[in-house]
Amino acid sequence: MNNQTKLITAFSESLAVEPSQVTDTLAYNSIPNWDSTAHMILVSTLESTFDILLDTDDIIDLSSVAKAKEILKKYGVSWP
Amino acid sequence: MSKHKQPLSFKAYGVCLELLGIEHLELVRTWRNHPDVRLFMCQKTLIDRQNQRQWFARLQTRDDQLFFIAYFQGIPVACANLKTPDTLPVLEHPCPESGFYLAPLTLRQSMLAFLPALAFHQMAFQKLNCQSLRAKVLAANQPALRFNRTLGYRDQPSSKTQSGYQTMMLTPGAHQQASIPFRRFHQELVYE
Repeated sequence: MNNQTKLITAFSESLAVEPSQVTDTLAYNSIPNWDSTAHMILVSTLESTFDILLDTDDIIDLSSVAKAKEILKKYGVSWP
Repeated sequence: MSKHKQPLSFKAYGVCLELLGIEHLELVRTWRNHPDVRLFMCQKTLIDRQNQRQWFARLQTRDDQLFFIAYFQGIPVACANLKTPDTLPVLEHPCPESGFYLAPLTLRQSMLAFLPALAFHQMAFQKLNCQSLRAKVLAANQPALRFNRTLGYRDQPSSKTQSGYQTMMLTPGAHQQASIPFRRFHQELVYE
């Protein structure tokens, strides 16, 4: 499974949305499913999926799919 | 002034809690009147400045209610309170009622929204020696119910009455268990 697919799966399962909804524009204020509990699950899922530990500032900034890619890149996760 | 309204502050999870002061009133009033907050309150009416000042003056003479403001990274982010239903002082009641709301548009969709609530519960159990906390949540407020369950609150069976509220209870053990995913913040975060 490539990193893009892993990311889509992580967002889809954490936020309970269809994988097709997981695009760069998916952001915290665009769907009601994205609440504080879902965000906690998302952070935990991303950390276990990519075997990383996000800094607090990055957790604060994790507000969209596009932002997640940008943040994960800092931890060595590459995108096609 | 009540003996219980002496300066009281608590720090945990990168959050500073302090008793609500007159300097916080206008900010808290704007939070409380924001539609995102007001719609899920027991009393949904708008609060004007004069009413709030009168309420705050009364609050200073009572020990059955304590209101707190929570700061995260130096920014006020939430308001919390403890009340007793039978006018017993909060500090003498084994199971006061807890109230909590976040400032609009701050941490609402972030897992960091749990930090001020965790700090508040830690203070209640550790510093104020509460034996348990009771929360009354509108049954229609699913985000708040989910938020509270993540914090360790458990629904009280058959408490959902025709009034449309769900009563929830939090014990120190459930709070400790719920705090496990957040312990890294307890160690990492600094206070400003």
